[in-house]
Amino acid sequence: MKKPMDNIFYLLNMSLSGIKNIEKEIKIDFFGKSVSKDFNPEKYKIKGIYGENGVGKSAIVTAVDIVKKFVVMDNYLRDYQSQLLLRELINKNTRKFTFKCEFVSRIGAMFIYTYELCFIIGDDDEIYVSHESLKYRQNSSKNKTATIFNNDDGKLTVLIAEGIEREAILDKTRNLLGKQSALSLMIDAVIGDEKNSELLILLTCAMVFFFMLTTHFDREDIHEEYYRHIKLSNLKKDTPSIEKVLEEIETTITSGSKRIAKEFYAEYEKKVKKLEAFIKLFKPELQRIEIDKKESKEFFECRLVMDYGSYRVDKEFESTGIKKLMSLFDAMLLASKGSIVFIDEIDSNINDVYLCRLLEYFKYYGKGQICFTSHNLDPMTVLKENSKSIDFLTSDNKIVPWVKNGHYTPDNSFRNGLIAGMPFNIDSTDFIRVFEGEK
Amino acid sequence: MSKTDYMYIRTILLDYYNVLARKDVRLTSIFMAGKGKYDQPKVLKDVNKAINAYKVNGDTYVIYCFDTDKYDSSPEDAKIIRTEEQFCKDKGYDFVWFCHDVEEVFLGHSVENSEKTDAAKKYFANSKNRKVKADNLKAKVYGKGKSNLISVLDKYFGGKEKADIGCCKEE
Repeated sequence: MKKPMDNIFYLLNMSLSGIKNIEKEIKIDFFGKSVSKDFNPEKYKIKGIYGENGVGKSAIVTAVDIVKKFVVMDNYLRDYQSQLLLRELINKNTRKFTFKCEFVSRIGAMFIYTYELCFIIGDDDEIYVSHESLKYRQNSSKNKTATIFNNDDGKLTVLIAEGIEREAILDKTRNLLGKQSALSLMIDAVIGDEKNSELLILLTCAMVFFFMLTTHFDREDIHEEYYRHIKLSNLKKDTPSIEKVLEEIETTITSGSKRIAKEFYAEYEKKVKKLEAFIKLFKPELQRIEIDKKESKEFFECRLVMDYGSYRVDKEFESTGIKKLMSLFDAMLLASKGSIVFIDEIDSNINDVYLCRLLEYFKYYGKGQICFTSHNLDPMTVLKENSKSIDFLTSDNKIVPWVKNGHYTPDNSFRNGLIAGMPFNIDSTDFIRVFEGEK
Repeated sequence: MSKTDYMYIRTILLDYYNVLARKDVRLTSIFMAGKGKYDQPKVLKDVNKAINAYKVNGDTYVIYCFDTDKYDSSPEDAKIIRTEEQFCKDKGYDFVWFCHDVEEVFLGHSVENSEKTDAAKKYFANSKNRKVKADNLKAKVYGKGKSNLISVLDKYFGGKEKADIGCCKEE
């Protein structure tokens, strides 16, 4: 008997184009089957994306990061720095970034959502939303898909709401949809008017999915944390029927950033204890991790100090490897509790053996989803038994999923250039020209 | 062909066909451990292994490369090259020849065994050393300093724009 799905959200697939050097649309499938009543993604919760240098693996994680920030942070597209960054990140040829994903939500009834987003670089070089939509259907392909909203060029061409809700939404979104997420604005419009309205719950589920979507680039972002906190607090107030689930999610996604909201400090302390236990697995000589905290209005500014008994080291001065493990801890903790975590270059500064053990843990015991990019082929050994767990990204923007090829293992196939579109025709002699040529 | 000989062929693959930009073609080089080893079980096994490994992505074409040696003055060499050609014909492999040897085609003269590696490296490394004319690599019949290398490779890499640089620049 199969174990039923125990995570609240599951990302089924996503398509994206027009980000960095990914010009044409690529589609990444995490599940690859139709969703049935006894939906069980147990064997489909981890994916590694491999490819040559510079093919756009990081662009995939960047795309997720952009979409998440756009939905979660109200002023993302109004922010000068975001605009500057997006102008560089959106593909110079297409001048258009598209993203689409399908995900399962299991808050209450099981629904499958389809979210679409498109940014364009306007003639004035500003980034605008040219399309955003959210659809949902019940857990079978037979059920009809209903559109919750459809924003085309700043106009809500489809809107599921009626009556006062509709009026409130139209009022709230007027003239804002070119730069703000309709999903986020609609929640703001509906919240407080009618507790537990069907529409609010649908929107909340979708919004919480984006909260649960996490990206890891070895850097922290306190703004996102702040917006997430405000939004979730409002959502909890106005959707009491799913408050418990939201509380659980809030605890899950309280991140390890240095600025910790006072109300989350107790949770943070618990998390640091877990981090201590985690690091001790690799560094048994570590005695404890202390939190050096300073009060700052409604936050504590926290620094972590590693106590090795005979000496103490501020986290900032820890070895790169230990810092990487600490950052991976955050990602793994979120994923193990049900978040959908995208990790760019999971292998940088980490020992192969440790990395494989961590992934193995997640494969057998994790609850959420992990999608990582890597150049290290060792994790393929852990992933190869599961379906849809290894994708190759080619330089001509194609996703080639790993399919069994005789007795060839995925790492051998990759190394030997046997993956379509990735022949690795470079030869050791080619370097002669570089290092010994044209004297 | 040895790894040293392959350096000359590689100049054509890199400069004339720009193979590093071709993501639709996988090249596998199999080197002989000496002359006359082309039909040794180890070589045949390696060839079959390469064919089978890539089967999932498409067809594999096998190109054998031989020096004609002194086919025109030594009956024994003439017989050997005929046998090698027949072997390719029987197997359905392409037969590429260099007359009288790869150095004569690319450098214009033969090279002592002890100097082969250095000569190949020098040729491969510096574009100003690479002076072979493409026409000499499109020969139909054996002749001093000639080869059919481009005639054969054109079947697989032709149709794409060729780099007008380096060794094969038409003069």
